[in-house]
Amino acid sequence: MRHIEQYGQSDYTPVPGKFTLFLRNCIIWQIIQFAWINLKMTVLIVKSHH
Amino acid sequence: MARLIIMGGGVSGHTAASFAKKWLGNEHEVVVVTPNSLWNWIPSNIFVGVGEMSKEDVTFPLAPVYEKAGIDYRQAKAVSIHPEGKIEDDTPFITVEYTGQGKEGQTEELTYDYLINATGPKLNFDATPGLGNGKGDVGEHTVSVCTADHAIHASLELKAVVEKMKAGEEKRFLIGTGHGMCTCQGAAFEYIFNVDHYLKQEGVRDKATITYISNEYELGDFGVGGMHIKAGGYVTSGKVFAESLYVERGLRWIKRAHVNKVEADKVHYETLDGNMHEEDYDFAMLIPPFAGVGMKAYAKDGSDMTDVIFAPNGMMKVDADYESGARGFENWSPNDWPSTLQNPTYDNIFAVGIAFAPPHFISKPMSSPNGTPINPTPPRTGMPSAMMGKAVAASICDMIKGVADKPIHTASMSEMGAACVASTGKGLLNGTAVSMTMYPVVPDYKKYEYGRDLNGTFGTIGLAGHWVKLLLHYGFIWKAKLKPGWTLIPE
Repeated sequence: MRHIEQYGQSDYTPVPGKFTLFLRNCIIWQIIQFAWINLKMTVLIVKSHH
Repeated sequence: MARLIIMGGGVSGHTAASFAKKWLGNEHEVVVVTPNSLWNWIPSNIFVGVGEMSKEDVTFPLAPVYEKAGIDYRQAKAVSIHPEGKIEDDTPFITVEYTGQGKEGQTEELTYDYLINATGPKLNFDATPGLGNGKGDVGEHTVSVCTADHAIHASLELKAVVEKMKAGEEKRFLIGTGHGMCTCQGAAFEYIFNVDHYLKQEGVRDKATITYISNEYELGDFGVGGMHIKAGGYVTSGKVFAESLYVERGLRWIKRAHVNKVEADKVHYETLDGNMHEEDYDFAMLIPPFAGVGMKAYAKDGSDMTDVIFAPNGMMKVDADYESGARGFENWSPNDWPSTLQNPTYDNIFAVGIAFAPPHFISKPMSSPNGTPINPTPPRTGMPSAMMGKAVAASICDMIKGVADKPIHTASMSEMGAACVASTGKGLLNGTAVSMTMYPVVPDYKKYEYGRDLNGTFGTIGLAGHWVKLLLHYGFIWKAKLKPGWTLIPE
């Protein structure tokens, strides 16, 4: 039982909830994320070239 | 006709050579000197290290690509630079020793008008007793994913351990950095998640204890002092997300550690508080520290002038403020970092990627009470190194063509961003990844409250990042092969 063990590294660390875990593999949401990541990276590249 | 020599054919050197040849055409010579016959997309070595990809998936022969592009390819290692030439001839030159093309062991002098040092690092395994084999390569106790061949070896060792686990044995995995001054924590970070994923696939995860060991002050430092991102209404440290990833997967971690000795089944390490510890393992992948490749430089009269061109760590001096390191981190400035990457003594010599000497750390420098420095050194790989290669190639081409008399293209790490995708698995639907961007790489606390632009610095976890990783793998290999449209793929 975790509550009777000594404190460990995991006791003060946030972990994702069920909805977050669902979104990580939800195809529709991930397609949107894919576009978003690419947009973010494109902006980054444009800003980085001098 | 001018001759540009590029020493090194990795990400930065290959990028510089490709663009220089495209811009200079056949009027001028572009020569690449590299001891390797293969180009390696190093980020995907992680997949090779768990058997998800083969060596052929992440490498290709350089010779046919350079032949098609009109680049003079010499499979040789650069040994010395003679920037003033000889007494009888002022023309600068380098000496090379061939490692292939049927000329193994032969030496040759190659004159140049412009020189780019893109040698990458020496993998300094021997800096930690037991980590190396005493001859500069990885030792017998641990594995590495720094090269494709290392990664194949890692994969075979991993499979052997898994077979024993299938027979009922419990095993301890140790993955991380093999010295207090390592960089490239991202590779260990990605590899540990892939090992976890692989063990799950093989149905033996319950028999494994997996531990990450790192010289980072906190998880998520990555040698850039960590990063802050906006999430859930907070501006929060990347440490929170990094730790969460480890906890989610049941991974232990040891931080602020300098591994000082490696034995067959245990490592000895010192932590930042000065205490000494041991950690047992059955399988260990430890990244070595990096050093310069050990090239020498000689003056016209033949006297050694290596310290004029190179810093003590063997990296090449460029237009950085090397006095800034001694001023203390509280006085560090983005302006300390080089922008044109031109050598201050010889204006026809440049250095890009890991080959240039950084002015100081990005993470705050720290030492244990015993005087042992334990902090990550600055990363200069991947996207920043390619951008440096392109910028320096552009500057040199302008100077060769007479458009400019000094370098006018810049690529300072304090004015460029970086993207990092750490992915597990290879399939389209069963992978997951951490995607991160940061801007700029070197924090600017005068311009940004948290050192970086919070709109350009973000992180996300999910399948989409895995798709991005696959896209980068195939896209960058396409680009490196100089296939149609290669210039449209950004660095």
